[in-house]
Amino acid sequence: MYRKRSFAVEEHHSSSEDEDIEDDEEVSEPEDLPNEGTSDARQKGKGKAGYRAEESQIIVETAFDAYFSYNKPGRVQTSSNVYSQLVLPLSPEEYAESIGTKSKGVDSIQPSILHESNRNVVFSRYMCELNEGFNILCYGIGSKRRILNQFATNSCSKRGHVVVGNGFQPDFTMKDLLNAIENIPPIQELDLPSTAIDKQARRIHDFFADPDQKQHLYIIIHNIDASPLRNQKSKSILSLLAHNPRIHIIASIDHINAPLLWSSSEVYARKPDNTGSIPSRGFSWLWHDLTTLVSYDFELAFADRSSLAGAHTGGARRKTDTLAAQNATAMSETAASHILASVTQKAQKLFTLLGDRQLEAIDNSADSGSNDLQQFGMAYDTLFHAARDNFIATSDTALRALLGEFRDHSLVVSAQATTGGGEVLWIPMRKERLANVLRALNPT
Amino acid sequence: MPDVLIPNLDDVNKTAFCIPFNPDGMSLVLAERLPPSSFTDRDLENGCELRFQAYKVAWKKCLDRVQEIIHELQSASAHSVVKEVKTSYNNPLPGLPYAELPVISLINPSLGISFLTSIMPLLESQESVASPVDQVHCLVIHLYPADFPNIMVGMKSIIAGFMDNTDLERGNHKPATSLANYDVKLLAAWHKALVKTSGTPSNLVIVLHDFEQFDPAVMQDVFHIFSAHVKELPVVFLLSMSSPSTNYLNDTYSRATMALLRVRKFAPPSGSTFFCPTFEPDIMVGPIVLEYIQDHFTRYNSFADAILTILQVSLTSYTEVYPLAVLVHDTPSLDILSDPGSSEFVNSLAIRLKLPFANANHENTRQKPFTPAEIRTITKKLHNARKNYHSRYNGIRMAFTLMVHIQTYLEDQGYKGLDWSGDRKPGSEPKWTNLFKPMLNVMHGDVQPYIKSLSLIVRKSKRKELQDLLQILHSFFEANSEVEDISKDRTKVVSWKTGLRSVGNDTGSLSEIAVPFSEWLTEYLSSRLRPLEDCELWDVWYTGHTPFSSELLNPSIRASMMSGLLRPHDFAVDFSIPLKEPPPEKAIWELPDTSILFKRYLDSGRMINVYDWFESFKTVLDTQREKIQDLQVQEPATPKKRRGQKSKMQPVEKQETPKAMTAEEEEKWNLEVQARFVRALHELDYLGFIKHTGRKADHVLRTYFDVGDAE
Repeated sequence: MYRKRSFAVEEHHSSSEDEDIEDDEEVSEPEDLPNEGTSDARQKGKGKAGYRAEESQIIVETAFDAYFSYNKPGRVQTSSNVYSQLVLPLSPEEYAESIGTKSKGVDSIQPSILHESNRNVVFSRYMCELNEGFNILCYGIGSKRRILNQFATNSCSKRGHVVVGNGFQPDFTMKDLLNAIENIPPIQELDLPSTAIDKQARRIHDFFADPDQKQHLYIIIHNIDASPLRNQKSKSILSLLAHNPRIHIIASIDHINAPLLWSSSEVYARKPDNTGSIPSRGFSWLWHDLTTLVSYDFELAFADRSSLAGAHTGGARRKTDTLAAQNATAMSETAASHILASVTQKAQKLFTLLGDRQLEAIDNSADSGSNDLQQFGMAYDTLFHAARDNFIATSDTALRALLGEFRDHSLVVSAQATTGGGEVLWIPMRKERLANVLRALNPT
Repeated sequence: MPDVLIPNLDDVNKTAFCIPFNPDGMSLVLAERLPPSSFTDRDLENGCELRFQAYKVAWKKCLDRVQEIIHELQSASAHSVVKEVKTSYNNPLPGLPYAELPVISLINPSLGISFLTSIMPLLESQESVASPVDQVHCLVIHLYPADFPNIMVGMKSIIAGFMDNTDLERGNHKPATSLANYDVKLLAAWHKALVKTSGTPSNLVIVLHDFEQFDPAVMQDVFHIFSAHVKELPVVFLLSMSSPSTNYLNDTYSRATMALLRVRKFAPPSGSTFFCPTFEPDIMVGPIVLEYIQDHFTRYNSFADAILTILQVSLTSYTEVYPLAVLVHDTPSLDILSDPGSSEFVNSLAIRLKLPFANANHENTRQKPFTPAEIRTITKKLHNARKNYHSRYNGIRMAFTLMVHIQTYLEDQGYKGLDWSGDRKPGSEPKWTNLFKPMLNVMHGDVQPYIKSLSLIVRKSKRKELQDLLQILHSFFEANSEVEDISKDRTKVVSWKTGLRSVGNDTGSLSEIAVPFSEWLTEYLSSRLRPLEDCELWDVWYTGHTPFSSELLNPSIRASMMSGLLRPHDFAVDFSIPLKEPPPEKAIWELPDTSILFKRYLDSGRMINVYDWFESFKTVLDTQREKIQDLQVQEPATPKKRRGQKSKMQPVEKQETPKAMTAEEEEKWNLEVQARFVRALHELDYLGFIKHTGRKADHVLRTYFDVGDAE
């Protein structure tokens, strides 16, 4: 386990007097550090104790001190255990079964805010604040989906129209939300010429800006900090709707850096009493701590449980990961064996060929824990030559026909090669599962 | 029946749901009320609605007054901006190598969108600004950062924005032969046609909101384009910026671009200039709230909207909590007070007013209703308390304003006086900036130093100064002649003034006037500048030292998430039951999975090896399982112990508890541990605590380094 350099400073400290413990430039060279090898969890406790001993020499460590002491330049000392080599990843079925039959662990904690009386007080407070021209933003550990849905059905739907948007779903878009708003009966009756989201948003805004409009609109957005809603366009549309005096937004956030999404002028801008010629934009947020301690199972229903990065949203790796996630979850062993049972023998041979080559590539490569299986795929031309040599397909058309079956079922996936032209084909299955399938296919 | 209309919100396949409006009879009743107070036993039956009404009236008054002040401050600036816009193209500087593009940047519109809103009608009106010769019509469009993702779309938005606003027809045009809709020449042609039809020249004003969010590369190109066509297109850019730095333009844009622009900066006045003492609020906010407002204003952001929000939130929370807030404006009628349901409320009122028939004994579960005579006594006392409070408040107001007048005069004469400008920053507005601290001192009742120094100053004044001071007092009393009890003081001042004319210049005779004057001043100020808490029932009209809950506006999300992860059991504590002692600390195995993983996360370094993390998680889960098994074994053992019959069998049974599992159970347990680890890991990832890296295989990076409570 990572043994911090500061721990080594403590050992060093005993030999030299009056050494300023915060002067970490005098940390010893790597060869002076005790040899750890593959330490296990028990040593972690010791490391922690050592660190705490050093910490006590700093009078009061603040978060800033902690940041700098953790982010010291230099090589990080961790063990060389690789998770994906030592532990088999779980298939979705295994995961579902294990979580479902959870043995009697500790009882789940029920926060007092979820008791009915407290909940009613909270709902009435929210309602009052919404009517006074604020929008509500809920934060805190635990999924707030259920309680906000209860708020929507019990309180908001009795005062006006309600639209609920699940921001955490990876395929959520602003367009879905605006379409749902336009499904409200009074708006449906209007003439809706264009479907560009800017024009849609403007239409909705103008509809609710009319002083004769009696029913207000309540928009519940779960995870307004989710990646589909982080871009400038979505924020601009939401800020337009949020500042309408008859539209009220109740949203939840989960990410620790979510407050960075809005500038302080947007956060504090007050709603105008009546909309003038310039529609104002902003979110007059009031923040509420709604810690529910409920698990995030629903929000993470789309995560790939066999991958470590399966739940990661946002960031530069997002696109490749989601693609890989979708590809990896698309195929399970049973599904693959069903498909293979229904194709011809030649197709099975082709699959075996492709699978063997892919496994070989994975074994030969250094980075075997990567999510991106595309790099282990085979170029179409190479596959064609190999197929011809093994008497699987004599012509290009024949090969395409065999592949077509697999492609329809997403058992073989292709993409344009990044280097040069041509296609790359690969099987979207993890190496262990692929090995199992191939073994089942060819028992000998 | 209504439930049929509600869609299944747990449907995984849908991303957005529409719940139709579903009113039932209750919705009208719920319309306008505050949430129930925490002192419901002392509240009136419909206390929530009544308090809401009181809050509404108080807030409206406050809001109107603050908005009036904002408007006053803005109007001068607004006029100058409008004048600048309209006269941009009137007098170009001669001798320049190329014409410059006029750009007006509004920096730090702390007065919010209302500043721009006040400018717009002035801009769009046909009124002349400088002189009839300079009359120029302005066409205005508004653009936001989302309209400028790249240069083509940006130009299209500008051109479409102008062309849509007017009725000029474009005539027959074929895509092949006409100009593209992002071509600036199209706009030039349109403008030419517009001038021909309308006859008056017009400036094209482009207002860019949130200018810092615009991509500098795109804006640079836009400026270059328009600068090349300045002669045909009189475009004026109005940039609305919110960053406090006044050099944003110079920092972000290259010198070549800046050379094309002629920039004028306008910074509307900001600063804590809002507390004019002639305002009489219904519910006065206490010093803590005011201090918070000032702190927030100077430290975080200088927005008038923020001030209004803080005031509104503090009023709401105050009226929500205190049942007595019902009495702000008027007393409930005799019928309501005689109602048995209100007897607790009336009793609490009687206790506060120290009436003999009040029942301070809380052991009685039911309070008997009060007789009409008792209620009439209460009402009369209430009325007196209200009158008392208002006169006390007016007294403070008057005395404070007087002090301010005197201090202003002294500062104008070059004296330090009460030294209120000790911490004034250089260059800030002199008159009102430092009234804040003295005002807070007045509210705290900390006025003796002021009174003493003032009386000393008056005693030592020269003739001219005495004369001026007396004149100031006289005009002050004249201006506020409707305030009661003022005629006595005014007469005194007049008599001193006349007396002053007849005495000589020596200090002896001057002191005949100066000494009684200073004594009178001391007495006048000390009698009025007493803290508001001295009044009876002060908490109906004054929030006192109630702290402001800043978590509503500026929460610490990280702290909340940390405590949710590290101390989840604290959230289950029911605070209505008083705690005798703090609950014992929970061991790590008693926490939920994500909390266990998070604790181990805090123990590790910047990079975490996932396998080692998993192993440590597994260890804790193994401990958890053992402990739970031990607890389960102990439970069935206890009743047997009580029976005392089979006590001999106990140790045998305990030893029979299987410590070792079968291979199959072991396998299942391992899978379960792995599944729980993956779920907890994904939750921490979802919350943003870890980052993935390609540098080392199966390692994750920490993003969160804050220090938790000492463990």
